[in-house]
Amino acid sequence: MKGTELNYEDLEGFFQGLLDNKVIDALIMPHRVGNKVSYMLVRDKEKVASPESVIFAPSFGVNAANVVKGWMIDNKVGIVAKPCEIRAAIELIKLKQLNEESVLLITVDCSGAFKNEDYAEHYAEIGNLVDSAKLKELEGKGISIREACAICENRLADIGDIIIARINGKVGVAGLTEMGVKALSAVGLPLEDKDLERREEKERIVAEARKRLEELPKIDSVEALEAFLQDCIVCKNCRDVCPVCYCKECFFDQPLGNPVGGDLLNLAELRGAIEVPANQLLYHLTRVYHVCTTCVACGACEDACPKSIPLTRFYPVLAQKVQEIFEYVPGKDTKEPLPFTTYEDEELEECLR
Amino acid sequence: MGIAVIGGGVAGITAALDLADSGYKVYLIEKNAKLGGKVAELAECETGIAPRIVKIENHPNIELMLSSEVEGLSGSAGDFKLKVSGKEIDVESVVLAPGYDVFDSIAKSYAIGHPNVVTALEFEGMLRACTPSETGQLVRPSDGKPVKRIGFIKCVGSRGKENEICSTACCGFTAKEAWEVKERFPGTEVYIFYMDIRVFGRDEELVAKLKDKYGVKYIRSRVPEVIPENGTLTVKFENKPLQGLRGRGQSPRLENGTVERLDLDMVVLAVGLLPSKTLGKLAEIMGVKTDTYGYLETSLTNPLETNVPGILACGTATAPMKVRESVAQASGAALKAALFSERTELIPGQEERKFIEVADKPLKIGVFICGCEGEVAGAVDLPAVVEHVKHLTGVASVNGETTTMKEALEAIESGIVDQGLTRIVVAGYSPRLYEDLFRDACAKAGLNPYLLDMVNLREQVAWVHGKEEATNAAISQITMAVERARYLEPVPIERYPVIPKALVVGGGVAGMNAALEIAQAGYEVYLVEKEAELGGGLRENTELPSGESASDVLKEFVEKISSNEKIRVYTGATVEDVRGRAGSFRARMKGEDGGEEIDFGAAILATGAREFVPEGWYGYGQEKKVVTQSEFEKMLAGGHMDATTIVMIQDGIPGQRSKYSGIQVVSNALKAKALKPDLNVFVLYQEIKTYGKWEVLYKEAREKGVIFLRYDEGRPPAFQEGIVSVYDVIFTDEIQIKPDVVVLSPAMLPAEENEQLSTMFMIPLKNGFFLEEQERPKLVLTPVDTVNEGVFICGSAVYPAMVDEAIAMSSAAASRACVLLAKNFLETPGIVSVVDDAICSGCGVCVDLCPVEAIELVEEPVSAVTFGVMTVLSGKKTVARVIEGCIGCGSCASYCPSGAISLQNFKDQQVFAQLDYA
Amino acid sequence: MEEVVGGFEPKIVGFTCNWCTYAGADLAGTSRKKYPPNIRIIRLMCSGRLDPMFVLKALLNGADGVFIGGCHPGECHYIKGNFYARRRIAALRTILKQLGLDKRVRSEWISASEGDKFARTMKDMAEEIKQVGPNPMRDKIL
Repeated sequence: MKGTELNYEDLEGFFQGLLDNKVIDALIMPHRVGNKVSYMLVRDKEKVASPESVIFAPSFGVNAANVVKGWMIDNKVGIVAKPCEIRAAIELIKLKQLNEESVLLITVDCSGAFKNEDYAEHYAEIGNLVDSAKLKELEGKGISIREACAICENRLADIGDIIIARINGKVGVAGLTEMGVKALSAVGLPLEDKDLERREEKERIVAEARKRLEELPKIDSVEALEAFLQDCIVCKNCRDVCPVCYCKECFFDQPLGNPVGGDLLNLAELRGAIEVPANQLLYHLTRVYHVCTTCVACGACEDACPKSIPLTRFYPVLAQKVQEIFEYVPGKDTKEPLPFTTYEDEELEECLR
Repeated sequence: MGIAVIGGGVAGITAALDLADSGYKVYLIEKNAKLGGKVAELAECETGIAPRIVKIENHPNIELMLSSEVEGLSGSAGDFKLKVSGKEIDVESVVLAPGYDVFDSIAKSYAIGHPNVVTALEFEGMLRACTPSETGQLVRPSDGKPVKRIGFIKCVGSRGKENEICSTACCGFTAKEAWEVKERFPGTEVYIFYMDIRVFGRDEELVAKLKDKYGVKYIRSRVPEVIPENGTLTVKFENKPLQGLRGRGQSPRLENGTVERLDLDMVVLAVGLLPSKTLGKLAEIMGVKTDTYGYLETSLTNPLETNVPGILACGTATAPMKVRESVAQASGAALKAALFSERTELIPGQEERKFIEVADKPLKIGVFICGCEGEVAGAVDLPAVVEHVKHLTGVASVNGETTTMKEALEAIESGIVDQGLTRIVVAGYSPRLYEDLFRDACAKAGLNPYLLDMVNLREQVAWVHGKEEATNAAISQITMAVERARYLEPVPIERYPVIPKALVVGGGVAGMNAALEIAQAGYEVYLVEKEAELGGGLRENTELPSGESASDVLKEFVEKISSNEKIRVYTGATVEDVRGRAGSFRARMKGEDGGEEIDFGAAILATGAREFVPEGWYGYGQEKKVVTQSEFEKMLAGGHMDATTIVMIQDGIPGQRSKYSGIQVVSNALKAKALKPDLNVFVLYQEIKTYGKWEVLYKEAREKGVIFLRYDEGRPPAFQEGIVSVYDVIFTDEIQIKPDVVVLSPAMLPAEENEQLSTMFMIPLKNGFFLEEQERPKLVLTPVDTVNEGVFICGSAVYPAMVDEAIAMSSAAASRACVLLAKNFLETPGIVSVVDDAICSGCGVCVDLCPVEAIELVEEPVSAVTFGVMTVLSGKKTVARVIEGCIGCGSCASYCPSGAISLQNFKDQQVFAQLDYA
Repeated sequence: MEEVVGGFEPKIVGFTCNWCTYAGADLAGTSRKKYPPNIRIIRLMCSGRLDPMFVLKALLNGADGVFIGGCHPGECHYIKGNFYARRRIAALRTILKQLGLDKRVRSEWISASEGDKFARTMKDMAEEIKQVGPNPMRDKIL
């Protein structure tokens, strides 16, 4: 990859340069509102101020990909976001819900994040930047990162058009795609050969994540599943915030998936009694199947659940095993086909019976 | 007038249907009281031939003359008078399809008459009648004890003194029966005694599977007698050394001659085929010639024509052959007979159909439970089922009275007309075979044919469950169907005109013949050949096995084609980008004429096969003296022979050989011997597959002194430093020969373009050859039809065929194409995908999934908008659209998470409804 | 539990493709091969039409087992349908496995000529599901 090293405070000039040089028409990036971190869509470069103080902040609110879903206009937008968000954006490109030519995907390193409200509450202790040592220390104090982040194997920026990596008190900025490299040269960055792969660190993260995954309580029976979803009110927030759910009209908002009136009564007639709201289990099981290859494990579903159901233990965990059998990591490359659109002549027989 | 088809077996049935379906008046004459012939006695007939018999019985253009005999014929082509059981009918042409009889003077030594010794046909009956799951075993007819060992003895009454030719079909049906035994009764030991295994194409795969996977023991030995002893049957056979038992260099053991005994519980005799006993008399009445063996005489390049114009012949009356070949011949003969006749009848299903509007009508479901001639009524408590179903919501009437298909069809029609039923549920026969018939009945009565659901009470309930269980299962399955019916929607059906033109791909003998026949039938033909000249394989050969010069045959074809103004030939051209469906295709041509677009209603793929170049095998390509049989044939055509010793290696190169290959070997050996009688000719072989009448060439070659040395399967001959060495299994010794010429028989490879054509025309390939739509499971009753209606295959594009077979198949393909082209209109298929634009997110996954590129993404421009402060540039989003060519697999619908694309007749709601009541 | 296993007759929903497995079931019939009456067959044209949601719906409706039958890979009437089906079923069963439900779902490639395999599969599957026991959803209000 081609790129260079910058000081943290140089990032402001870099982002402003992207807008200034018309590499992009707008920029979606985190900004700070009090103790909280939110996203903003920037047109005026002056609004980009001290980005280094916020883009690495260990806070997760909305998945940025969900914000750009449906961006099909030709105006080009840059997105500065965490790996899971950019991965989701890449899946959306494959699903034609995002115009590949109209987005510049800028991925920043992530150390794991706190729920937005936890972050705001403990901002004083957490700060703008964390590393694994710091996270451990915080965990000791009972301030833990989201479960989705704890089991995430893909925290280092390694996808998208441009990556921004934290290395030894500086940031490495490098282009991964032609679009990314062009963007860097358009703002006048020197382009040297850069290796930001950081294999060892990655292995350490993966090992840690797998260990944490093992420790998670399993939903390994129908009874456990029922207990797990017992409080679900089928509000479908988990769907609405999901960056890779992309239907114009969800099956579960249609009469067959969301029976009302006579349809509902008919079902009750059939079985004597039915639980309402109907289709609670069918909704979650179908949805996990629908996203099983594209789920980027961002955990937005869990954050959105008004009943605080730890949905990370359901969606990302179940999906990961499916992604394993297809040897597929969602959001790696826009050119990689979706697992359900392709096949090998001989495969998967061991999974059928 | 009309056309007479004599014989109501599989060939006669096929010919009659092809003719009647294209608007000809047909008299189908059968000497027995029912249709079906020998094929109807086979275990699988139910799934193959039964629906056709039903169709014939109800066909307006067919006059069925059962228990009728042909007594006399006068007149000539175009004006025959045929006397049938005292009645005189006027016909323009005649198709002879009287079939065969089995060899019935089986030697007493086979213990014929013993209850445990049966013929292959009788064994079919046993397999069919047997309900093994009750006992789990095949039992001996004599005492009901389980059959532990069964032996099949081949070539009983063929390839011998009484009948010198090979019966062709036995190797295949023996393998099939053996397979069925092993599949159904895995513990049974199966032995097959044979002389040669003469199977081709897919049967070769079956035999290999039997040997390797199923452990069937093939023993090469002619078994002369079966000795009943103490309840078992003993056969004696000559044991041969097992392959690979002895390493090279070890001294030979004299193992030949040792006679082994084997005790069997049952013996099945693969009895030979003979011309039908009444064939001689029939031939005499018709004035057609028969050959030495009593079969109707036809020729290699005119396999369907007798010596009398207007009288065509097909099936096992012309030579022993398999079912698929009979069927192909029958279709071909039908078209040839049609050329003498005038179309006088209406083609069924051409009238415009108007359907009742059901949307505004109350739901009235009619349930018709058919007893199926007692098959269902005997196993299911029908009154109990009727009582239950009657109370289901929406069910307006239940009819449990009908016992036959005809009654059921009539009841449905009157139910729709008289009672105003708006949904129909038929419980009885399998929908897989009879859905079309019942759909037609609905349509005839004015109900959209997709408002029908069927429940398979016979095959999947009555025949497989005990009575109480069957009744419960019947109730459940009917309830599910009633629920589905509730949500069935009328599917829009449109008529579109058939383009009365055909495309033929491949200008070899099959392609040329097909093009000519279609043109003679009056339709325009595009004949596309990728090479610069027509001819294909004919240009590689010098002489056909019949002695005809290949170039003369080719010349005749080319002259006929160039003088036929209905045929347009494109040489040096290929077909690209095919769109459309049966009756209305469009393709782009690539070649000298540029990108011309052509429209046609039917396509025939006749791409042939090509010979593998055996580079490196036995020194081919390096040593001049090593040649292929085709090259050797050209040497022979030179008229002189310098060599003194010739070695022919048959089967030495792996792969699928042409059916011609074995014939070519003996015929070339004979030709060489004729040129130089003292020539040493050695044929090293595994199997000499001179099937049918070609057997006599093999016999003649042996008599003329050609030496046949069979080598062990595991030890193919070697050719090194000018010496051929081979381990002969009969002499059990290594033999070394110093030849002047080594002749190889290379395998045949499919045409390279098949791959591309397969994708364009949606025809699956097997080992590179086109796959026919099989009349599954095992009978091939549609040898030239494919899964894609309107596209037909023939000749060596299907498997490396013999010339006469390629011609017969191409006539068959032409016939099937003409049946389609004779129609003025076709209807759009109902089971296709549809998109709900309002819901479609335009992700395009369905486009990637579609196996036939029938879905496209339409770009909907997102227009530029000027807001108060800025202008947003235009962009685009997409929405899916189903275009022509959808085949209804539903792969798209199963992906689409929002259900924006759905498969008509198999919508989510229709499946959900069944699940709710499952 | 033991008592339940002995006495219970599982309800199995079977999705079969029209061209192979449904035809195989027909052949089982024409060959009069008896098999347990637990299966309720839903005919689809192709295993490619099997939306895994149908399987979920069947299980949630209380089916003790779900059988899916298609043409052998490479022999699909529609060329690719069963290849897609295989991926979908593999994905679904991988999900169900983690929830301890995979044993209730089984798919087999059964051709039109494998009537015996169909009958055998039905028998095996009925036995297997008896071992697995009744679907806990069976009598639930759901």
